[in-house]
Amino acid sequence: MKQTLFRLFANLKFSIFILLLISLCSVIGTIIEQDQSIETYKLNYPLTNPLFGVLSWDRILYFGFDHVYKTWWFLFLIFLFGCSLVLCSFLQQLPSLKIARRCQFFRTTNSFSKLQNSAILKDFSFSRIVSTIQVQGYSIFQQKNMLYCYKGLIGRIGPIIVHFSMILILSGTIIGSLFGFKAQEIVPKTENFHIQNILSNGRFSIIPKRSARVNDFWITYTKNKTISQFYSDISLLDLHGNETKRKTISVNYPFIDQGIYYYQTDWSLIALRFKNIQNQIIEYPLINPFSTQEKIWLTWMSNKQFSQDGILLLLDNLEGYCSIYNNVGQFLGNLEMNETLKFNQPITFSEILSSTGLQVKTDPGIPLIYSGFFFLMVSTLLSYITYSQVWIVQKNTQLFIGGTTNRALFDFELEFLKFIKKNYQ
Amino acid sequence: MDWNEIQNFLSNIVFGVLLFSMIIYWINLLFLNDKSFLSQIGRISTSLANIFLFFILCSRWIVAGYFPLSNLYESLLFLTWILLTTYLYVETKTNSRLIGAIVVPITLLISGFANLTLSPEMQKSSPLVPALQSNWLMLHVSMMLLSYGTLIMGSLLCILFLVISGYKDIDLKTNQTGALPLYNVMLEYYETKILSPSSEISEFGKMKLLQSLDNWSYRIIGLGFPFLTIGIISGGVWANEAWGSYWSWDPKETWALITWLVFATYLHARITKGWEGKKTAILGGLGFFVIWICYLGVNFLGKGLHSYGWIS
Repeated sequence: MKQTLFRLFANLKFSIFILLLISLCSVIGTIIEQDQSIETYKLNYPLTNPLFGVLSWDRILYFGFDHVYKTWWFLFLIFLFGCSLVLCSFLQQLPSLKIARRCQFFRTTNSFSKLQNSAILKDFSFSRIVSTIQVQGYSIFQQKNMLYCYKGLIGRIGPIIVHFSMILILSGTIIGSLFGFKAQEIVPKTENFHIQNILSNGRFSIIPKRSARVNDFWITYTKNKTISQFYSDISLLDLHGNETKRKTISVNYPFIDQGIYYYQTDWSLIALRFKNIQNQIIEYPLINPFSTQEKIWLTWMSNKQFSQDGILLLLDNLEGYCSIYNNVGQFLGNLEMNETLKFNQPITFSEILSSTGLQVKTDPGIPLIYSGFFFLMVSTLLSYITYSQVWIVQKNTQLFIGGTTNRALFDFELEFLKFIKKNYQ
Repeated sequence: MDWNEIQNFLSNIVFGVLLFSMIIYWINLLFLNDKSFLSQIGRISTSLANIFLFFILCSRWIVAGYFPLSNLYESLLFLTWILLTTYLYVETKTNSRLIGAIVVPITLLISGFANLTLSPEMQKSSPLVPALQSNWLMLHVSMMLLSYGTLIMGSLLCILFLVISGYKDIDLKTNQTGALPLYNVMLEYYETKILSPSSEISEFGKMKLLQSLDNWSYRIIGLGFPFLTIGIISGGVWANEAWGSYWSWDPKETWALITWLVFATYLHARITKGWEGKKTAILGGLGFFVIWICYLGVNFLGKGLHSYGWIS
């Protein structure tokens, strides 16, 4: 019973079936938007007019199509795939490798006709053939009148390493999902933060009680006014609030400390600060009235208190200016940093308060995954190498020669031709 | 003239040259039986297009100062270049006029799409957004496009196989156990190309052609697969370094995985099951469509990390 189940899992047809099933299920996740609110699905997939006649929001939620890649059935499929991978490697690939490593001489001559390429030579020079085969890079084994030659054994081992690296990657993913965590912190500049806004964490993950400070946040712009790069200057703090390490991070260049990664991911504006003549600071909070995707903030400066009359200050960048509109939406001009605005009382634009969006995460599976990645890259390349075998048996005045290859059929045919053609020169 | 104009001009020339060489290839295939000077012209003109593309890409690299694969236009040009290069290589190796007649129209379509439908704004090289400012860009994108190019080529050969064999089951092994010594088989194979074929030999030639298509598609897909693997993995490592997760089930990633799985299936069917001919050609042909969905189709969704400004 156990044996047959194992055999089923190691069966190639079964694993190919699982692979194609995983592909099909993944397609669902690219058609239906993932991880949206229920309202979005209600809006896009109404009960009355389901997509393709079957997809309505209640079914989507029932089958978990709103988060395909996290549903139990998708994970189960990947689990099956992993089992099949492990069993196939141990039950089929490793045994076949053992056979391949053994020298296999052909003791009789009737096996030759079954080979891809074979010939019977009557007029030949044995030593010349052997030297040609050797020049082509074959390892040669001889036993009396029998010869066995092979080359590219690494091409035979390659696929096995491919499987093992896939297993490494899968186990790395499991470890990462059990012990890792991911957090997102929106931190106003100059303020301290702890890791607290956890997006996802594993069953056994420990969130470190560490704090850090965002010293500064700034954006550089290109000549065309598009964003060139975001920077956050971060200090790590010890228990007493003293700085231990400091680094400026940007997109693509995270801060890595003791297995904890700090990534630059987002930004936001919080408030505008002005100074009046008495050097008092007046703060106007900024709001983003649109979706969070759009980076536009505005604030309202009223003429007098509780009045409908006033001006609107609008920002969509951190270049150090804001745009002024009146209450009917007419553009009045830009206000530069340190410029004074004559409005009620003269006030000087002194500061834009910004915050940086940091992602903090650990993933203990990364070393496993990266090593899996490395072996996978190398071994898929190695798998391209063709594995060829040549057998020769000399019997009286006849020479039986034959060979097979697993990949480059035509190259091998030409090579084989060389072995036997030389004798006709 | 500034660089932009020169590049645009050259890119239009490439389109013209490809159109010309496609016509040449088709005339050659339909009306002329033997190898004529026309096929030479065809090959020379595609080589010319290839050199022009290489020049365009290099000049963009120098002028913009970063690897020229930052937007759709550049990636289309690069893909055309890769397709032309692999096809020229395979053609010199096999001497088959058929492959050119199939691949050149595809490259023509891609280059036409890049030159005629994309707006001039999208053809310009613009500064890299923060997320793309990394050395991983070069490895990831070039590997992905290299794999797209080779896999498209290999799967095209699969489709060609299906078309020529008339979607029938063909036993490719039959003439290998023939009584003829092997060198004779090879000789006759080359002779059929030169001599005007009698019906028997042409049937034999067709068999040899199918065999070589079968093996070439296998070899090319076998080469494209490691590229795809390296491309996906470098993307994963980059994503982990840049924003903290090596896999986020973004539509593009998912479709790249699907492409990978389809071709992994293809390779398994070949190596382990020993399938060949029609069965694997169907799988390879399926791969052709999957690649295109992965490369362009996903961008229609216009979301995710890989929407490089097409419909926005």
